[in-house]
Formats: sequence, C-alpha cells, structure tokens
Amino acid sequence: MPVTKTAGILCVLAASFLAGFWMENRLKKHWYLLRETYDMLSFLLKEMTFHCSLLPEAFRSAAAHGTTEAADVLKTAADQLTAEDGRTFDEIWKSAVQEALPPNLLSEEEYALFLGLSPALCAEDPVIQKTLLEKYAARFLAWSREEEADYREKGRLYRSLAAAGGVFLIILLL
Amino acid sequence: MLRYDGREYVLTGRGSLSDSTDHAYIVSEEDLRETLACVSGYSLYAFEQELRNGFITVSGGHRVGIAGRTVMNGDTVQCIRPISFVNIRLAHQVIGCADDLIPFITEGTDVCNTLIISPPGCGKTTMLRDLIRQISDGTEQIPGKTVGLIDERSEIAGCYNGVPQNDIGIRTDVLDCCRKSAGMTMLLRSMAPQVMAVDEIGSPEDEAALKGVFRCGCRIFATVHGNSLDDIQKKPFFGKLMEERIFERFVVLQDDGKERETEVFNGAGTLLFRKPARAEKER
Repeated sequence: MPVTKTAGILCVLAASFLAGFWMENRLKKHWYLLRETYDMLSFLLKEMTFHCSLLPEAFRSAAAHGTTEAADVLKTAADQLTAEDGRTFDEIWKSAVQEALPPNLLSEEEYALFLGLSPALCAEDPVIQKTLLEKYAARFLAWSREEEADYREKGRLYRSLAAAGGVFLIILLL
Repeated sequence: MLRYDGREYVLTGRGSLSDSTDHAYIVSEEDLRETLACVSGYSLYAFEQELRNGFITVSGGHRVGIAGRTVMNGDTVQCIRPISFVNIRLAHQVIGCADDLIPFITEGTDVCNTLIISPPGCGKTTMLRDLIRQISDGTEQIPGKTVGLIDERSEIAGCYNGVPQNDIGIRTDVLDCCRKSAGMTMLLRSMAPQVMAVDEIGSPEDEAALKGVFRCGCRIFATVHGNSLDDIQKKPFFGKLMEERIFERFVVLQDDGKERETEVFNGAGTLLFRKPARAEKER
C-alpha cells in the first residue's frame, strides 16, 4: 500500500479517535464542574457554620483544591471582595461569574442558577442563608449525578462511534 | 446623623454636612442592608453571636450597634430582624490617660487590686485599657506583667477576627466575647496571668470568680458603674467584696458634663490622689 494511503488512514483514525475523545471529555468536564460546584457549596456551608471565617477567606479556602472554573469564580470573587470598591455583593458575584465561567460550559438553567447564588452567599439572615446554600448544593448534586450517569452511558459510546465512523470512512475511501 | 465634639450634623443627599434636618438624606432599607454587608465584610453569618448582643466590632476596633425588632427565644435574644437602626461609634484610644494613676496603684514592683468606679460615659473603659497597656508593657517603675483580659463586649481590646485593634500591651492575652465568670477561670488555668482585667462587674457569678482569682494570688483590675465609693459600698454585691478587702485601690471618675475629676482612694477609703477638672481640661 502506498505511503500516502497509509498516512491518510492513520490520520483519519487519529481524527476519529480524537473526536470521540473530545466529545467524551466535554461530558466529563461538565460533570466535574457540577460536582465541584456542589463540593464548594458544601465546604462553604461548613466554613460558615463552624469556622465563621469571613467570606473572602471562605471563598479562597473552598477554591484551594479546585481544578475547574468553579474554583476560578470563587478566587476572582474573593479578590474583588477584598478590593472594597463599593460595589454590592450581587454586582461582584455576577462580575466574577462572567469573568471566570464561560457560559458554554453549563446549560442555560445551570448558568442562571450559578449567577443566582448571590443570596445564598451573602444574606442578612444567617439561618435563611444556610438554608439556601443547602438547597442550591442539593440541586447541583442532583445535576452532577445525572451528568455522571450521562457520561458513563454516552462517553464510551461516543468513543466507539467515532472510532467506528473512522474505520467506515477508511473502508469507503479504500 | 453625625455626632462630633458635642455637636450634631446631618448628611445631605449631595454628601455634604448640614445643621438643618430639612436637608437630611433619608436612609432606605437597601442602604441599611448594604451598610451591614459592607461593615461585616459581606459575612453577617460570622457575627451571629455579636448580632444577638446588638453590636459588631469592625476592623479598627470601631463598633457598629444595631437595633430593630427582636425575636426572643424565652429570655434570650434569638435574632434582631429586621435591623432598622445602626449606630457607628468610632473608637479612640487615649494613650497615656492612666499615667497619673500608675504611681498610686503600684507598690514597689507589684500592682494593687484596683477598682475603677464611674458613671456611664466617663471613660472608665478608656482608663482601664490604658492601665492594662502600661502594666503589660511595663513602666519605669515596674516591670511588665502578663495580663489576662476578659473582653466580654469587645470594647477594651476591640478584637476583629481575633486581632486586637487597640494597643493593650505586649503581654496581654484576650478572651473575646466570653462571659466574665467563665473567662476568669479559663485564663487562670491556661494563661498564667499575673493580672486579671475585667470590665463592668456586678453579678453574683462575677463575685465568685473574682474571689477565686484573688485566692490564686492574681492581681485584679476591674470597673463598675457607680457615682462614688459610698454609692458602691451600698450595693450588696460590693459589700461582700469590701468585707473581704479584695480591692486595695479605688479610682473614682466623675464627670458632670462640664468637668471631669479623678480621685484615687486606698482600701480604707483614704484619699491618695485627686486630679481636679482644670488639670484634666488643660491636658
């Protein structure tokens, strides 16, 4: 078989594997982002209940071991809070989310809820604040579980389909 | 409304000060909410206990008092909601205000158990704070001593996030927002203070704790509300303390709104020192 044909086959196979891998990774990233958001909200709840650390410090502690954009949002918000530029918390939070979290990583509903976390993170009534945090954390946990199931079901399927598609294309071309 | 140097001013909508309330800016619910968020570092949940006590101490040792509708749980305040009134009191430490007292409350290199008596607003807490600072740092006459301070209302050290915002001396350990009776026992056991300082004593629990401190050989600095030594002696709580001769020095601060006078008495009630009002004013 000529060298060019072999190279072409290898390129098509690589592209198909990469495409499958990319689609699987996108699902995984979405799952991890939702899961980490839940972890951080739970951590913040414990920080507020047991340590009573101030919000910027609580944000930094929660984001310390994070690897996704959720951690970046908390770090950005913590920096903007300590800047003390006279903005309300709502304005600071929205600015941090828009700066650190690309909207295409979450669905519309998930992004809207993320933007709307403001009353749960800074409220006049500590009891209501903790209740809201628990509620939002539970929502993100439910979403992350759905996304995990989706990933486990579809991730392998995408890789297999992409590989199969690549092989089919090779056969067609040959 | 701004109160400064005995005068009142209002803030107008443009941000300037005025004597006339006609031009005053009317504070909205949103303004109050944002103020509280700002002074608490957006962390009102971290000040739950202080909010129940009706105040928050902020960075710099300043106090933000709050009032509104209280929600009670039996005899205790569960929360104040909504918060409708805010009073911001700027802290000002008067370094050196206790200079004249030091020679009269010390004997050799030791300090005497001292009780500061004054009506509200006469500066007993300010005086106690400076006494603590000087005893803790040491003076030319006496070496520095370890001081244990029970700051039940965060007025003396003005701790913010665990850090004293006022200068209370290098050898002072602070129990912030702790009940006096429990705090005295804790500090005695854990921090080995040579001097114990408490503000506004007056309950039977305080009496028992003070006796415990006295028996351990620890010196005591305390303050109490009162107009004079005779006024204090009539109170049942202090009658018992007087019988046991716990306090060796009494510092009486008097202020009739125009003049302030400082007097120091020994345990027998003999006047040792008087600083007249004119000397205070000149200072």
